Amino acid sequence: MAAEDLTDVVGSRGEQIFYLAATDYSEFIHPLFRPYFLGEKCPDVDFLVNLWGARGIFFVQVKTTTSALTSNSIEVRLTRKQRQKLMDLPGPTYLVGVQLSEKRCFIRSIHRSSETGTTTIDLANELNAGNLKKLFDEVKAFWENGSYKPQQSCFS
Amino acid sequence: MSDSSRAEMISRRAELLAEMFLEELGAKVTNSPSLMADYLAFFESAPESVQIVAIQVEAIETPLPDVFPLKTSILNRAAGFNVPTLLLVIDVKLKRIAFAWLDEIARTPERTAKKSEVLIPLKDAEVCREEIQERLLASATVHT
Repeated sequence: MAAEDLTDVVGSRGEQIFYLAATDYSEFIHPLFRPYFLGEKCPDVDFLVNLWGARGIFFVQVKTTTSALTSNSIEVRLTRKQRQKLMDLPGPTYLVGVQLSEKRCFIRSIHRSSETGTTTIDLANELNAGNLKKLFDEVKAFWENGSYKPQQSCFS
Repeated sequence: MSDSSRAEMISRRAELLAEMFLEELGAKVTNSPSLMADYLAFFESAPESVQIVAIQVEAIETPLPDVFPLKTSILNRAAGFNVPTLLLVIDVKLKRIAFAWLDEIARTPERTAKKSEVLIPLKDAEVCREEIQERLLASATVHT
């Protein structure tokens, strides 16, 4: 298999693992999120995710690695340019690192500009039931604190 | 949550879990609506030989039962295939998978075709990976 094909397979598998993690409801009555894969036409970000049963969305860029986890983090590669593109998105935006063989996902918010890219995500940020609930609450609070729609328009 | 959204999510989770399970067994998986199974899985058992297995996926949200009520029409369809047909019953909530070989059950003489459902005995797929592998390798349908 060509190296490029292998990268595609790894990336695609990582996206599948993220979808399953984000919709995991083994400890809830129903899933908390509804992820929509944005596909090839939107190269800067992989998923738009809706909160289920509440107002709010967020964006997710998935980075998959076959490398083993370190003692306290997963190592991923998000360049400064990629990070800036995520910063430009309107709404909460997260980087999700997926460890392929262990099928585990870890999440990190992209909410501050940086002169560098992002290379690690803390293992404490694993997308487990507790952190899924925290993520839901965080995104819900974000959208509740601002105006969801413009207060006026030229086209009223 | 609307019924259609939930059904869509259940179906998507089942699809991904089935796909990942089969890929871990070494298969390449394609959707196959035109062939009336949910998927076709291609296993490369030896260089230049590929074994084809039809895959029927049923998603549930409850713990895996010992037997699964399957529509007789699905079993009859499996009987008409010339390739092995693997039923995967997937608990999408707890991510557990059970399986049965539908082509074997379809050949069972005592099966009564008049009932609308047939009770299919299931085995836990996670603990029967080797059995599945063996059956795949022993499969009669080999395309070179």
